[in-house]
Amino acid sequence: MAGAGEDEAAPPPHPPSLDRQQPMEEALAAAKRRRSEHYHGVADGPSFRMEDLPAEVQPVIISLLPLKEAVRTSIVSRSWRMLWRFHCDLCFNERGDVDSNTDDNSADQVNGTGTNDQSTNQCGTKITRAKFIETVNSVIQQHSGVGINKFSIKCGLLIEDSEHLDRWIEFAASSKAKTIDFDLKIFDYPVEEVPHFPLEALDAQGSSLVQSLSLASVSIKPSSGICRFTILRRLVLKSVQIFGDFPGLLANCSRLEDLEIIRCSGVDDFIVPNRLDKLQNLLIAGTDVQMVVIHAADLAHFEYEGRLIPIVLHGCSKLEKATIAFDPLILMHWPMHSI
Amino acid sequence: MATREAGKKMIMLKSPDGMEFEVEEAVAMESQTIRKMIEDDCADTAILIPNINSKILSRVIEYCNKHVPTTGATGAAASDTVAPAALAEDLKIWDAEFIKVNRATRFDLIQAASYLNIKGLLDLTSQTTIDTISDNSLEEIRSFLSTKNDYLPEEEQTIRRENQWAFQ
Repeated sequence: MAGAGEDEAAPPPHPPSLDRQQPMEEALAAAKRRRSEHYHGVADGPSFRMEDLPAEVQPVIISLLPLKEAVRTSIVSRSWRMLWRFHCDLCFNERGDVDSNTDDNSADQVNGTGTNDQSTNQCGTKITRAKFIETVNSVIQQHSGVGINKFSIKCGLLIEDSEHLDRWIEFAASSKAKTIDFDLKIFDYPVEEVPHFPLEALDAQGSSLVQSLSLASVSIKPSSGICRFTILRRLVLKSVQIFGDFPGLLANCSRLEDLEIIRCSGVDDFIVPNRLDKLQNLLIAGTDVQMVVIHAADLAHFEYEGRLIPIVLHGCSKLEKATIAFDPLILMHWPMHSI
Repeated sequence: MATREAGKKMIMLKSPDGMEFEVEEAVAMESQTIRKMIEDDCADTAILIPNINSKILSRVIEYCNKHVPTTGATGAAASDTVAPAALAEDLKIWDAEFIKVNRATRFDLIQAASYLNIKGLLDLTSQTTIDTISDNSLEEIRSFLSTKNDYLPEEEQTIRRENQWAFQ
């Protein structure tokens, strides 16, 4: 490799004159610690030792690698063995890189690490469902469970896999993942009953720490007594069977900015009595609702696609764009429709 | 709170090997650590940067000079009239040149960026490091990092078995 020769001639990374000062912050404490513990055994030139870097930087660096590559670094040497266990984006995709239309960038805006995880964190291998389950279980068993930014599962799962599903959701919740994404769509054949996603499992002492939640091909049973999603900014539901009090759930999402409801069932009336003052984008498509009534002072984009229904948007003074496409195949009376 | 309107207010940064660097406050405040010191009024005339030698500190200042928002740039970046996209492209090219340093220097830059809390510099140095690891064989990575495989063969086999999916 071109860089290796040049590096042999480089000065040692830690001139002794540097470490006389008292550390002022954790970074320095970590730096100091490693000098007493690890400054040895570099016989043939300075080696790049991840553990010599400040503790908070190591996960940032290792997370720039796709998870699979990060895991592979565990056999570089002993000092690399544990590093991948601090990877902050755990994204598992049964279908490799086949699907590309289910994500958009807004999910990653809550991501404070600056990683670009759209294309890089897919597992990339075609593995069967059983193998997939085994892999996820193995990874979450070994992972440190701290500092997780995103936890994403894309795999066709059946009702009988619920035990695994529950474990994964519990892991995502306990590791305080900011972005949680479960897409359980089965492509090969139609299924009537989809696995249940227990929203209450995301509860962390009365409220949830999730900032972005995206669910597809699951069922949920929201109720007003369920945990509060006080910092949830983005909620995407695709082909979700909703049993219960959906407006009640939304009433607990006071910080919601983006809401997408696509091909869901179980929402008869989309009437949200509470104000959703942060809501900026609302999309309802292919979902059989009777009526949409919403109070959203900040709403900028509204999109509806479906059958002819009354739509009432209260106090939406900042509305920039509204796209309403009524399905022409379903004939109804002229709507009591007002904006 | 230190006022930002002062514009050309200068701050003295001192490295532990005795060098002093006079920089504009706005440039120094690219570092969130220094910004906090200034905002908390902990910085009078000079700030000692405890664990960053003058060679690395001067490179960090060079980076901050280039990346400080357009107004008050010290002539290095005549960017007032340049379109944002062109400016971003220019910065990218500049960054690519800036980071062409040997591994030890880059390593020190990562530590400095981490301590001084300069996100852009940390991202740049981290990404460059990871680029050298990505897509290379284990032997190449070890060679590049001057790291020896210190596993016993059976240990390595155990680790490979534990995470079989990643090694297929």
